[in-house]
Amino acid sequence: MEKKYGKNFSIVGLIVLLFLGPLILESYYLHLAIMVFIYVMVASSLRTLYISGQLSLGHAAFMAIGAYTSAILARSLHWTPWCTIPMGGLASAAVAIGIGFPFSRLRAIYFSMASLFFGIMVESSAGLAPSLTGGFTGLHGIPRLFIFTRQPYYYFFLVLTLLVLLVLYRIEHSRIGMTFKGVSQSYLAASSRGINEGGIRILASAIGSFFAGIAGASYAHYAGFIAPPQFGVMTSILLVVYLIAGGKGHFAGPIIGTVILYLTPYVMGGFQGYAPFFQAGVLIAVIFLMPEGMISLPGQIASWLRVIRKGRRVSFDAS
Amino acid sequence: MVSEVVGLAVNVLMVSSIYILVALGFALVFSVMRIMNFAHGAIYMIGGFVCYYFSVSMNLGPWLALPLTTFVTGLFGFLVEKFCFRPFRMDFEKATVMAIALVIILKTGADLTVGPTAKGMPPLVAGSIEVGSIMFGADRLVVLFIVCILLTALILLVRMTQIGQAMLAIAHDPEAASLMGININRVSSLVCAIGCGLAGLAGGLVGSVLVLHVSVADTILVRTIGVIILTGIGSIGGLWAGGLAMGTLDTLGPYFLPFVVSDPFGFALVVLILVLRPRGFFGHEM
Amino acid sequence: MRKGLLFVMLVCVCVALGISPLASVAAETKVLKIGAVNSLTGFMAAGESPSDLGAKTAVKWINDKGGITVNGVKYKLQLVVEDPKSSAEGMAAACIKLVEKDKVKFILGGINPMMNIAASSVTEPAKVFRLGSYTIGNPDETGPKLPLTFFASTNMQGARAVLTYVKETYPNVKTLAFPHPGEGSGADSRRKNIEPIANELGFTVVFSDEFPGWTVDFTAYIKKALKANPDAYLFTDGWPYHVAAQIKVLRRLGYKGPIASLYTSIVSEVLQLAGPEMTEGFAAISWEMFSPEMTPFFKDVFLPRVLKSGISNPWMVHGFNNVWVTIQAIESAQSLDPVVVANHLRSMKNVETLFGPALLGGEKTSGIKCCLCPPQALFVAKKGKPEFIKWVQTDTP
Repeated sequence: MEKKYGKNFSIVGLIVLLFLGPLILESYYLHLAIMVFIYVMVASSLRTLYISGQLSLGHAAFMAIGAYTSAILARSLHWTPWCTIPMGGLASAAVAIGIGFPFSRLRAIYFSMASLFFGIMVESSAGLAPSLTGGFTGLHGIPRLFIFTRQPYYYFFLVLTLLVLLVLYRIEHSRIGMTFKGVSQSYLAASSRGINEGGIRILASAIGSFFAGIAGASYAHYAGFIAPPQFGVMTSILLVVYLIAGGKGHFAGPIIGTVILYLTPYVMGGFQGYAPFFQAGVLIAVIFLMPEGMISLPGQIASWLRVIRKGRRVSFDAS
Repeated sequence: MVSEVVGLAVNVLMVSSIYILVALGFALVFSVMRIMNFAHGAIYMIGGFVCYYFSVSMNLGPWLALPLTTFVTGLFGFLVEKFCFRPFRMDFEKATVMAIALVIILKTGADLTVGPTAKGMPPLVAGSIEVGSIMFGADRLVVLFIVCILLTALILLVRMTQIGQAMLAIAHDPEAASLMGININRVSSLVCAIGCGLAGLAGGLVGSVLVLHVSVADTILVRTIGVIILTGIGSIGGLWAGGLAMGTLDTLGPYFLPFVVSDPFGFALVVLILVLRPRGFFGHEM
Repeated sequence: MRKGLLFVMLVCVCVALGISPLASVAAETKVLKIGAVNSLTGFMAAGESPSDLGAKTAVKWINDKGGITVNGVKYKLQLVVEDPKSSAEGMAAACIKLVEKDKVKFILGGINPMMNIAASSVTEPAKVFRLGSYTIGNPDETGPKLPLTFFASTNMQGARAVLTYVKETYPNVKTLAFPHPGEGSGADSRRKNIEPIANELGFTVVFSDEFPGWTVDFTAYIKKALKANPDAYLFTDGWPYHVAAQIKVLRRLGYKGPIASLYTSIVSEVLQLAGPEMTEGFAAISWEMFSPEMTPFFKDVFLPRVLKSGISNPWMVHGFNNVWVTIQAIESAQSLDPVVVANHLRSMKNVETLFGPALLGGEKTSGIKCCLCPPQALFVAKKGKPEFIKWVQTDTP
């Protein structure tokens, strides 16, 4: 009972802190926070695929699909972003379902490689209809959600992220979530229980892509400008890194991974040129020292402390 | 018309040969260590610059610089295997993160030191060769020749030596291999050294034919993975097919179609093949 | 579980504090902050990190002279550098930081269309003056809707001069091939801007396809170009990597026609990359750092200062010029209001640059005067060395 109160308290405390953000942070930091929110959403949506046994190396492509769909609809047909953003999400989901049919048959590493090339393919398709997509230079003049002050955007993204995380959390801890995990564990056991393995993976893929599309579309209507390299291989790979370095066994893994790794260069101040080294350093530290990811750090520290405190007693008993 | 076709065919061969050489290193590392060395492209790029250093800065000329480059990158590969990959040998995800960390370090290092500008190296052999109405650079033919020799040597190494057999054994079934007394650590070290050495050598070769720049790391990595997909995981001898296919796509695609179409088309084709036949032309089922 | 979330909270607080304004130092008075957004990491670092050094050199030079005086108040310059990391996102973040956190009113830098557009999307609404390094005249990069955005050079500024040189030196040349890099460099803009000039001078363009920026091997592309039988092969982007790679292929395939670059291309660099034999006869507008033909200012003031930093990369020119031009505009307008400075710059007849007095151009191609057209030096590669031909006045219609 006590534990549950403590946990809820922490979450509520954190959320309250976030809502107070605009009062203590300047506009520039709100911008960074918004970027973090966006990537937290996408990294968490990547996790949905991951728990169903599919490690996608091309997830940023779904950000792109959502972003471009929403941007083009809003720009060309003058529909309001509040409508086009969900449509962007649906477009991503639709594409995910479409490629899901052939892809869901692929196992593990084959899926990863296919997703990598799918991502590259999407990125390189930007040039196919330049008048519509802006080509490789990018698409600009995207209608924005609010007039240009940052605070409404901050709250919008905060609320959106919390909602998305809530939904993803509930899905992961629901029966469907259990099925996802089951499908990833054993290829035979799941189908022996009458579960349509392929179908489940497509579902996971659709859900994950939907939210990536929403995040991408929201970003498009925030920045007003999108370009293909933003959704390229590097981004996809970074998302995977955020997921794994943050902790692949825990829902909050991608969250913590994104927060720490995305913000690293910005904390570096004058040493920006060297920031990537620091990021790489963090990565190496994580995989060597914290196999379960950064999320396990407090747990590890706690057990080290326990060992230090009770050290002598343990050895006494362990004869 | 005929000369055009022949000229293009020779071009395809030259491009494919480089892809095969680089993919070979990547495939070896992957088959034996089950690690997708994302840093492979970066090592190729570094190899090019190391070769430049030996060839131009230290004035040793290209023929001496190439073996030196191979040695240096091979040594680097050995160290990378020992300190970076060995702990994660069968853990695909951790190894991937490690490889990515490596790429970040190598590329940033290159950006900050070697730098910003492109570099050129003197060709291995100067001049052009004219056959009928087709002309090619002599140095490209030399590169093609070198690659063929290397490939043959490597295939022989794998098929005929004990350590080559060990590599195949580990690629098939690591557990059984170690039960048979094969020292996986030693073989892995060798494989990684060879793989990285080949990448570095390819970088140096291509650098002398084309121009060196830090941006080549990304494109070659994508091409390499494409070759592996087409060939199929686990096959070494079949790389010629995958490399040829990739080389053809890359050369003929932009020739016949505007590149905005040929690029996504090429990638879509690779994806299609992967979906229809995951094990590629020659791969083993995993 | 509980500890996990406490930890997450703690991390967020630490991160917020670490990068929060609580940690920043109070600004000095009478300092004019100028922002620089040159990529220090990523694929654009090639051309941009030297630019950063150039900017720092210019700032130091101006401060050593005593700074600038606006409305009777003396100001020292302070360069605030942000790394846009070669991405649109990074550029937006860098500009947002400069504009909102550092309260900078003048930003310098921006060299590729994607990043230029990203930068303008932040600077224009915030009414911040920006002087970018290079534009391809894309309607999204410049124009009446972007009154505070200027550029120190454009891709077409040298076109007329170089085409005229080709016409004079090789009178038999009638047909041209223009290779265009694709991928974000806006081939369409180039074609639209350059081809009319070529046609005006009596040339016919027989080939103007795009090649992927990532092209490893140009052989197939150049074969396609040669099928169209161009009398001359003229590069539209001066990037040495592209130029040298194509020259190597051209010469190996036996092409004997004249080659030149319509945009600034460092001849000495191309010589190093492609070798003296193949580069022979290659002409371009070039910044030959050590040529005795450079302007007195370049030789006496700029060069010694940059050499002190140990680096002599030609791309430093951008950084230096950008700072200097902006300061001239500010001093001439005697105002620190970006809108006033922008309007004033637009009306200035002569702006000093490292290469001499520049005019303002761009009215026809962009709809508004927004680009500098400085004099430039034409060089040709002869016997392995860049040989000076003449000074030309660049123009962007």
